[in-house]
Amino acid sequence: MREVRTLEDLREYLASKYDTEWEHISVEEKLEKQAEILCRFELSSEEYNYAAPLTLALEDQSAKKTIINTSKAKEILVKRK
Amino acid sequence: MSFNMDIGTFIIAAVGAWIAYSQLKKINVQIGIAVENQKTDSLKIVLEIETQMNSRKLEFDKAAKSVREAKNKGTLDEDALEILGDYFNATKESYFNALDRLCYCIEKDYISDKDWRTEYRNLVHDIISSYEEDFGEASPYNNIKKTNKKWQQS
Repeated sequence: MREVRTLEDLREYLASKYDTEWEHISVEEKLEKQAEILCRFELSSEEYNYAAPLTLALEDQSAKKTIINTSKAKEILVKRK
Repeated sequence: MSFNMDIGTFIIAAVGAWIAYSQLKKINVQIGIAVENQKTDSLKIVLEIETQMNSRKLEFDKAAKSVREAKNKGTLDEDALEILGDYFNATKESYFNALDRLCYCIEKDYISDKDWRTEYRNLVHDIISSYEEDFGEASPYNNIKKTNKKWQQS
């Protein structure tokens, strides 16, 4: 890992990982890799949230739950028609 | 006489050059402001589309919840099925339209592909996989299909 001295360095480092190495892996894998790196530092929850590009993953996770919910409803509608 | 004219010409040229320089400087500042305004406008577009998408996603979730609840309560008779089915389809169409608009903006470079690829790549792919029947040949959601094709290939 390149030299990370400040929280901003860490944030930039993770952002660059998202843009390059992790671009084509699943959200779950991204979260795992991200957590693996962040756990090496003693961070408060605020610092953790600041450094992690989590908002990207949260949007995706939220949409996945919508897909699960609506797919179940779709199945009900299709079966009953 | 000739010496005086040379000095006069030099002064006029210098004044002209200074005016041109100050004008160029002003134009530079104006271009900078225009670029900043464009960035702000792009951000506004993105925020507006995301707000729309989120509110429509919530409505789609609510419609799905109503269907599932009606089934659990045993109230999904023929009439309820028609009403909830229409509601479900309407909210689905509304959500997909918002997503299609986002993809249109990405396709036409109104917003950066690179910035949104990470965030929406899986979502777009999952939606197409889960709702294959809505993304066939006659699908109105061409921008979603195009964006997905591009993102899956690169």
